[in-house]
Amino acid sequence: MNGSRSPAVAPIRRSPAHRLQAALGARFATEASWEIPVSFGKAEEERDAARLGVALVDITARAKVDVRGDLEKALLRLAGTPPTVRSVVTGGATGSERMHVARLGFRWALVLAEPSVGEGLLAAVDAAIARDEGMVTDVTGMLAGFALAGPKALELLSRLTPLDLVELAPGTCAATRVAEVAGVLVRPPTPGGVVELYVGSEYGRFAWETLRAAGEVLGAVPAGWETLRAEGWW
Amino acid sequence: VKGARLPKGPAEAIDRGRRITITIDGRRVEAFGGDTVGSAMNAAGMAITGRSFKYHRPRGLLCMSGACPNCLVTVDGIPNVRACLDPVRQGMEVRRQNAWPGANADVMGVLDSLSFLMPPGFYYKIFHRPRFLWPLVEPLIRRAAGLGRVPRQEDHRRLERVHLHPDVLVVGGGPAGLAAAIESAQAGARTLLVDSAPSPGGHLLWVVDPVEITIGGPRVPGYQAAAHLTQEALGAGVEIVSATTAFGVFEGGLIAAFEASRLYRIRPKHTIFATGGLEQGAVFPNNDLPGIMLAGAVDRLLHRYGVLPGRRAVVAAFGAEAYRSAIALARAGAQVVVLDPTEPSEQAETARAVTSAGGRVINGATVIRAEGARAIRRVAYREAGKGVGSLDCDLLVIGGVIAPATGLLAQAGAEFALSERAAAWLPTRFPQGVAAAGHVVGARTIPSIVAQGRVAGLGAARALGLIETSTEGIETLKQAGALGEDPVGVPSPVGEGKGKQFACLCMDVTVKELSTAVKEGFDSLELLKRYTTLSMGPCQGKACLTGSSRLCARLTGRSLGDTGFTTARPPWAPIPLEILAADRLVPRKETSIHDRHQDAGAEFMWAGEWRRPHHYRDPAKECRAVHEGVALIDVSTLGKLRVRGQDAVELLERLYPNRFADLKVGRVRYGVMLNDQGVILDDGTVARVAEDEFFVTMTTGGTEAMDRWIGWWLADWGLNVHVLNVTAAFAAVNLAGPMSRSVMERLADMDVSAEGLPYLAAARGKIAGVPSLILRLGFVGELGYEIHFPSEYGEFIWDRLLEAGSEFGIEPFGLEAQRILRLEKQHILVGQDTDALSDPLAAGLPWTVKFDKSDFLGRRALVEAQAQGPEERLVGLMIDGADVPPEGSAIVEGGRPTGRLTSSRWSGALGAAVGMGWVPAAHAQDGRVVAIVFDGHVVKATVATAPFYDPEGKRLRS
Repeated sequence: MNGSRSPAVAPIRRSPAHRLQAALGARFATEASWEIPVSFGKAEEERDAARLGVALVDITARAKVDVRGDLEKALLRLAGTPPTVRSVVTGGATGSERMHVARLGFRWALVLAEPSVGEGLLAAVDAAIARDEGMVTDVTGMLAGFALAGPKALELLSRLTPLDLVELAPGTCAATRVAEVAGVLVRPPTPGGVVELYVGSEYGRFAWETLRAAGEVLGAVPAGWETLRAEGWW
Repeated sequence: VKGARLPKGPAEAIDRGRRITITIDGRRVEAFGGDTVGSAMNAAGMAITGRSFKYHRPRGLLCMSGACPNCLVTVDGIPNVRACLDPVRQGMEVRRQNAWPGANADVMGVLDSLSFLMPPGFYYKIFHRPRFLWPLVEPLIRRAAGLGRVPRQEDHRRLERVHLHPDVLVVGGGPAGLAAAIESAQAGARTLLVDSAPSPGGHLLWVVDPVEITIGGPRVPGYQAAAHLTQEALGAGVEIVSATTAFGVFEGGLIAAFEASRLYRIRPKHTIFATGGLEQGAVFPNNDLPGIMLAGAVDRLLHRYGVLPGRRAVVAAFGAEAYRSAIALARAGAQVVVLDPTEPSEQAETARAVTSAGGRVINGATVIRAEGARAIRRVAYREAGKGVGSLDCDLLVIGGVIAPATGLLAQAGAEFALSERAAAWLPTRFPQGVAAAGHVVGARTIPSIVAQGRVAGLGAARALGLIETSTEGIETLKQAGALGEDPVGVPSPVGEGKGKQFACLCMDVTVKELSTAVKEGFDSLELLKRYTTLSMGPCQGKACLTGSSRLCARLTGRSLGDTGFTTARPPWAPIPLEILAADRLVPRKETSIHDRHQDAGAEFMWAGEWRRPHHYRDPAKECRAVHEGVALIDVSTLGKLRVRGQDAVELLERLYPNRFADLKVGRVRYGVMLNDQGVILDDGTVARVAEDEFFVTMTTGGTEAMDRWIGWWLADWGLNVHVLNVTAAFAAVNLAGPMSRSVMERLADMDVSAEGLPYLAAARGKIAGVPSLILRLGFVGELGYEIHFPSEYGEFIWDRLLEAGSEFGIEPFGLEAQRILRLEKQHILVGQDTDALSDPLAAGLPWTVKFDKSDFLGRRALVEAQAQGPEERLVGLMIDGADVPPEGSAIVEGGRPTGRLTSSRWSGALGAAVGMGWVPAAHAQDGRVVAIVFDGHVVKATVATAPFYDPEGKRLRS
């Protein structure tokens, strides 16, 4: 019978910039079937960049759910505290403290979580939003994500986006243009200098290259998830 | 003797302890740190800084502020660098421009005596008859004229673009700008000050005498006052960006500025223009000789660089600034004679200061002519009641003629009126969020300049809601700012005697040429500008426009008010093109399988922003793999929409002429989308994946436009449906060929047989364990499966399919093969086979139009088109011979074009060239022979309205 065979190899998910990072010496680990860059082999340099300059981390593997529709009640159920437009709240129905709900517009929100939350996130969001209230879509692979960590994160972004970055305070988000393509900027409400940038995954390699080139004068370095987690941001 | 270094002065910008050696035209020149190339040249006694644009006349330092064309030099291969601004660097190589063999003795200087051959607009007038002459002469003219040579070598410098969003932007770092920034920042506004000078302070930097900043306040030397203001600004939190030139104001209040390697795009909430004034020269015979300088240039050389620019100086004084220079020159040891056109009482105090410093003042005297060959050596003047006199000199200083630098302010939309008192055009109304202060609005004394700056800063803070609306303080300051000003001197528009009188130094435009142009009918300033190129050179009118306006008024017999001034446009200052292109990004889209294509040796091509494999090997062989075995193409670039909601069917029924209400879950249907005129916008498939949900695909190039198109209509129709562009969420591959089912059977967890998944079926399942949506389609004419799956699995799925297909000889195929294959089936490409007039009836797609539907976009137009019948039809063409006519070739009949070939390729499967094209509707009959013309010869082609390959579709339905 057709389709009775199980796959011989476990499916692997990769970021669009995977090979570029591999060429830079990235060490990958598998998490929720994603190959995520955990380190680029220079832990001290990565840590210093994240504390004093700017570190670039590929966070495409973050679970991402797009929600469209009448969101007031839905976000109340989902997040406990419904975020106002252009704000970000933490926590919610999945029980994961790492879930962030970024409300990008009156009828548009993005829910973000650790890769391990995965399909659980989609189910949780789907459950919180009635079918006639809105549409829930897993956009994990649709958006490539990059964390800009460190005090020079905004200075780096100022080279790439026309957005007034003063408006991007912790706990806010914005849909804007970054590096000439549509992007979403999310600043989680946690202390620290992390800014998350999401662009269409088809622009993932371009965005990674552009971030690295623009960050060169600021001493930006590629970093892995170990740095983000060690610094307590994730 | 030029170039004597003076003893160290209090306002020096140079570091005498740091010696720097540069070369100028191969000659070693010693300089100090902080010198500019211009100051170093002058200190070394090099009066000639280069040769002029057209007549190759010797030119020397004039303004020392970057506002004239005289000192453009080539530095380390980069042309048109302003010597007066460019700091010296150890080992830099400087070359003076537009001269051969050298600037001191330029062979092309002969052109100066051939000026009769170059009347205004001469390139319209002469060398055109006989006709062969112009092509011969033009290169010579281009070679003889010009400003430096474009460097040949590539420049790999990293250039940046930075976006800034201050609350208040202050343009100009003089006393007005600093004062404005201080008030604004102290009120709590994020304040950015951009200043083209290396350090803020404006003209105060070279004022060594005590000045008062506020009326009745303490008097301190000007350079100290500049330092105090700068410190106060920094203390208030002002961000000062020096050596950065604002060069344009654009739509939405965007202000562009640049520094050496960075372009700033600044979007302030409020802008204060404190751009100061521009010193102007005077027009008289030989007014371009080296050794003629503006007062500000002399002050800079004396006080900032410790250089005495001349020992026998004549100062043409039209205002207080000229006397300041005269006094400084006399104190520095120069013999000084001041020619003051006013009566003795008007400058009595300063005149006494000149006299006490050893100089002499001649009142009622005006310069009428300069004399000299390669530098000035004598000045002729007319003295009221006494006639003409002359003075030997090596320096002529023009001082006190200052025009407000209104260029940026005008670009910002300010309105201007002629001020008789200021003898200048001054702003009278500002757009919202714009203010100005200082010299640019006519202030001349330091207290009034500073007071105006403070008013502007407070006004900005008030407009931003940062301070109370109490106006008492502001009114007091306004009164201070409106204090009486020094009288403004106006030189005579022309001089007397023999010699060229230059109205425009950049373009070598003389008074005589302007006069000729006016006589020829070019009698407005805008026309004069275009005809003579007046003010169109590197300085963009900064050094000449005031004088030119007066000249134009005089020549046309109009008043200065009626003459007006020319439209201000960016760039206000010259900007290297590389800066404009700084960090220009070219976004590119790549599928998640891109690296695999690269590994396989794909040749890529651009498809819009996408990078797609054109081919991996011979496209003909790739086609054969599809027809005979199995092959794989990455079609992730297809546009994909998720459409869900209770009105999803209604939305599709309105968007498409085709019917989707009766489409069953698990089925796919082709459709075209039309505009209101019934013209095909895009095409693709619609798969029903749930009762209220559809998966819609569109063309690679049309996705974004169609996404917007649907969004617009959705907003208008207010249907209860959600549409999300999920193009990037899903990668997609088309597995095609008679063996494709065998490959699918190895990977799919579902029934992929002809019965289980028939043609035009849609099913969800797992491929190699990855959740996927599989569509049974046949764009390339064979049994095929279009597999959509989360894009992050791109490489994984690609690898598994190649592995599973290896025993069947699977191989990837590219766009070129796809184009051949689709042409064999006469599947259209929207945008290639259709154009802005193509409707589905004429394009051979009438079966996609359901007229029995109540309405859809384009219905009305199609009803009309159907009634009239199409004039043209899109048909298939089987082409005779082995040649493939290029796409776009004309289809002719009786020597007249009747249609056009839109697609053409060689089909290996058919052993013939095939194509598609538009022909008259009457010719759209199977077997009709038409002629195609290309490269001068004609081939015959036979019309075919059914697919060339597998016309009954048995293979793709198998």
